[in-house]
Amino acid sequence: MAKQTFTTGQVLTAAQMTSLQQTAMLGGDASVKVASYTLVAADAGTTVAMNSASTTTITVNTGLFSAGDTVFIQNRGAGVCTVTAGTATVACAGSLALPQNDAGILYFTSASAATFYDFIQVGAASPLTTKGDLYGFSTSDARIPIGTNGHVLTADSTESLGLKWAAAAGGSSFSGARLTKSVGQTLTNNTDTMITWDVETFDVGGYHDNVTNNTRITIPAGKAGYYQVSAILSYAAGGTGQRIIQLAKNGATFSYNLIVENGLGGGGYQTVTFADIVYGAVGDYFEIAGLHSQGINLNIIGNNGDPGASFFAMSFIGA
Amino acid sequence: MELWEKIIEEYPEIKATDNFRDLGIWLRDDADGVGAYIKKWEYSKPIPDGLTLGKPE
Repeated sequence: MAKQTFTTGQVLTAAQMTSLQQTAMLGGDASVKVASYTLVAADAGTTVAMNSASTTTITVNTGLFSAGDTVFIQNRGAGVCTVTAGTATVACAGSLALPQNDAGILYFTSASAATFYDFIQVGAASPLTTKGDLYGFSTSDARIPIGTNGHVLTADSTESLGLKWAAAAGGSSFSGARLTKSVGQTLTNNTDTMITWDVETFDVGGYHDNVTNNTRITIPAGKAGYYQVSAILSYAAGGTGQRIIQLAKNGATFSYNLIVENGLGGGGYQTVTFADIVYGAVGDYFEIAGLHSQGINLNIIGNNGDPGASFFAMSFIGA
Repeated sequence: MELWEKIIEEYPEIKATDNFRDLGIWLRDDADGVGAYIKKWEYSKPIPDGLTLGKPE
């Protein structure tokens, strides 16, 4: 029953009392709308129900209602129905947008101001619909749909919800190079000699060139960081002096390892190994240098494919 | 004649199998076609005539 104005001595019928009771308990007849609607004075004390598959509005204007008047608003349709301030103001702590089967009470505090008490307050209604959905927010609650397998959640201020699923940057993708020699290399006695590498077992990331500056492993763009270094120099047989393997960074000796030949015998390869972790900035280059004091020139074994052949390898560990 | 041989020729007290670094003589070859050069010289005697410190231009 719509809001009534009673007069002194008026007698209410049982039907009127029942209707008033239903209205007071937010029940009773509802005025069902199927398109956007603007409230009128006669809606005071009644239920206005929207039933539309499309988005609709219920507009609230000033000068039609008195302080204390209420309108119970329902949305029965699939389309979102939004309570909209026309010439009146409408305050709300929740949401003025009513999804299907939501409802609320519009309570007037004056002829020009109302408060809408949304039954489903912020946080009460989940926007999640699908396995793996995340609860997000922009200006209202929203779902962040599950992403592609293997992707990671990434902050992105250009996204409407500030987040997106994206492929992991870097991660487990290998980057590095392993180099060998197709032929041996003569090392002059007592002379630090940079070792050339003309065969790539692999070069993932563009660290090396088989021809130009082929002594070098150079840190490519985007790959500054820490590297595991390993190398072997296999010296030809010899029975005198030292055998040294050195790592040079940008042309300067960085660290080295050596063996003292005396006592090791001279019947086979003398293999010197090297292992370290180094930091490389973009453009830094690393080289392996050999040094010996055999007393005469001595070869480094370089036949590619020989298990005892020399090699030089660097692999990216992380930034 | 190799660079190290020229040094021994000038200073016969140095043996071919000595570790030149221990004597303060650092020879280097960058494998770039330039050949060996004296990287550092801290030996007790001067660089032999005809030899120079540093990589040739």
